[in-house]
Amino acid sequence: MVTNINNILNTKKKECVAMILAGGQGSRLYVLTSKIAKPAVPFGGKYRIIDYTVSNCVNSGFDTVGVLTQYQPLLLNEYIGNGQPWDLDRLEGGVTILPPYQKNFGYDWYTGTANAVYQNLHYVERFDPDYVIVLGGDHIYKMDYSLMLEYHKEKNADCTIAVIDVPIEEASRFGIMNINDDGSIYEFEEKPKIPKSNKASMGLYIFNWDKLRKFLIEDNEDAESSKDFGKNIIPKMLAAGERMFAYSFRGYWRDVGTIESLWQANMDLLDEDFKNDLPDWKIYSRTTGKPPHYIGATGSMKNSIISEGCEIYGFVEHSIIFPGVKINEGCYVKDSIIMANSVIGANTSVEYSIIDENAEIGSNSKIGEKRTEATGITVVAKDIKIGGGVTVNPGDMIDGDIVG
Amino acid sequence: MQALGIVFSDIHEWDVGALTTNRTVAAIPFAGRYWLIDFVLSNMINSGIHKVGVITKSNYQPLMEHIGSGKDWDLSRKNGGIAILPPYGEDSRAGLYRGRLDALTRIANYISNSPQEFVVMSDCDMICNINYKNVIDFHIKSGADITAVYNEHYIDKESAAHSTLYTIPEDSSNHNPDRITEVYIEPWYVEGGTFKVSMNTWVMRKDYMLNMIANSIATGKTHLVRDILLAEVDNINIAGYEHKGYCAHINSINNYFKYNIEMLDNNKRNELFYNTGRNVYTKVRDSEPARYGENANVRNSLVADACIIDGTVENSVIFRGVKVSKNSVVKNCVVMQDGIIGEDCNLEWIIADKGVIITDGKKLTADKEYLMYITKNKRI
Repeated sequence: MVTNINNILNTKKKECVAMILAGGQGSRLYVLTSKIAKPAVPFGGKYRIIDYTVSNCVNSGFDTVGVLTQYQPLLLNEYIGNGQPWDLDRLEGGVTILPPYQKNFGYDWYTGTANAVYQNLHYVERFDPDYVIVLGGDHIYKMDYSLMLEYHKEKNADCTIAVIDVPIEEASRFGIMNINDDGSIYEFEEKPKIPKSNKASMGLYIFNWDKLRKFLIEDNEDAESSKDFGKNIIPKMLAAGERMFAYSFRGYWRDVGTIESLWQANMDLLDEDFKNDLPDWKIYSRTTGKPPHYIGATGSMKNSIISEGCEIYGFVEHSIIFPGVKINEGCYVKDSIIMANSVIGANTSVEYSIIDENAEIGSNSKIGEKRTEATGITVVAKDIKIGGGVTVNPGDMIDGDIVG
Repeated sequence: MQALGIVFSDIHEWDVGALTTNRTVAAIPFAGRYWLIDFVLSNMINSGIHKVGVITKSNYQPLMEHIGSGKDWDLSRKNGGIAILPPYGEDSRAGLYRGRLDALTRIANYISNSPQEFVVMSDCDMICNINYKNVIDFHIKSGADITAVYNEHYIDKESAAHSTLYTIPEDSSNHNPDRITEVYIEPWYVEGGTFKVSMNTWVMRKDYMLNMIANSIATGKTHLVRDILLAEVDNINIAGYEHKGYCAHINSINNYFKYNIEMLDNNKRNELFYNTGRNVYTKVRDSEPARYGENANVRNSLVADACIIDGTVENSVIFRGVKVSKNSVVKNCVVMQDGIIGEDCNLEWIIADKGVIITDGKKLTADKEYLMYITKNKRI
């Protein structure tokens, strides 16, 4: 007798299943992702990058979310856990971590974004969805996906791709959608030399599940394919004449794939414009539960975000300070991001730098330099100890201890 | 050595006056983001107590919302977990309870149905970080019928009138050195001094408690401290367990202010939150971290998440979601959740309850000797 897994798990039909691609290494974040996956990188004073995508799903009413992990998944798996902080601990659906796994005919790593979803066809099928939304886990934005799904239905589309207007002079860095007046896509160009439009793909797709399923299976048979949504699935669907539409998103959206873009997106939080971007759209995260932060008699700060459990005795300007950070007397912290539980010794200056979690920097040291066009961002990796009286040059990446 | 936890959420509410007009003692906010009950619940879960009943009397709806399923304290469980126990009773015992003992009689079934061997009872007015395991161990070793937790500290006349004091004779020949021999309930006549102050926390075996409840119903006893501890002090063996860590007794508006401001002291804050390694949990609000503007000038203050500070803040405790606008000065104040201070304001020696709005240009200055309390949601 064959037992259907749906009978055991009591799975009910879901209109739309979300698949978050969180397996990427994020190699351009260098030391920040040497121990963790890019979506797990801390952001904005208390969050991790993936919090934005997962919170968007929940706030949009999508309660069935698969998170595809591969590179350094340990922290990410633990962080997502049962999904409780995002209200995704559900009887039906909820969040499921989907790592590569061994099958009776062998095993594969995820060889591309499309392959990752292909290897989890059975997960999606359990919910018998009408639609699947495929998302990256590495962008900072607040977006109501349900509006995009409405649009997808309205257009009677097979695939809807979210696009954002980028300055035309930068368009050749993106995957560009060329569209007709009715929003339908007639051409997709990956990093075109001479772009015809400024509608950049956000790597965010809604598919009719039966169509996506068919193309995933076909693409998997194609030995030439690199099994990627942008490179293979989308062009193949276009070539087959499927109904493809672009959905224009008008809010704040940032890729945080590089040290510079990660730094900039953090600093955008200090910007007036960003504050007004869907202020009631909460971003959820797994929190540390510390008491409020304490500003000492010698502490002061300007234009900064400071999280719980910090102790600030120095001067902080235009910076993002994560929970449990201690900044001692005489410190000068400017244009910097200091992640959870790091300690900055007395009279040390930290400028235009990213200090990862749990780092310890001694007294009278100098990390980075004043931000100018020419200086690079200084990065100190997780758990690193830097002694007293040390100078770390701007643009350096420190991933080994330095004795003072 | 499993224990059942019982929390009295609203004993003493008359003591703290205005703060409890619209809330239970359990719901009094403290240290920028906590409620008093958070400390008791955290102590319980951190001591391995996984089944907790919260006895309520009135105004308990916000408390139910705060606690929810109990998951923020890891108390959402199949075996045990947290239960709100609202007023309930049959026949002649229906209606609101009169004292702790009376309340216990109404939950006798809840207690007897619990498989735990011991019961830890606590009020919410004492802020501390205590390991009840040590109290239970002490209770077993001492062979006492009831163990009462106390903290030895100086109290003034006002505090004495809101406290229970114990006497344990210091006599080296005493073969029962921890035994409490005298109990004083709210001794208003005491001029102040150092005493063994009841932390309103007691431990006993469950069987002992069920017997006590049965006897109380038969004899019409209703008050644990008056009818059992005080009345029976010579007949039953009551042992005193000294808690040596941080202890704050919220028993008046003045003490409420004093202990909040005391949290600015690193040693006190570390003692309560960090040194024991036992976290204090509260309801997760998923608010953004605090944000400081160009004009912010903050010294010696505690500032919670979701605050937006663009003015001057000194020697103050600022709760979650408070806004201090530019050119305003907030000095020696406790500003509770979601308060809004407009521009060009000056506030000194103020306790602003939840949701207070101070409009632009208001100057409100009280004195160290005479604090000003602004009621919940008041707009000035």
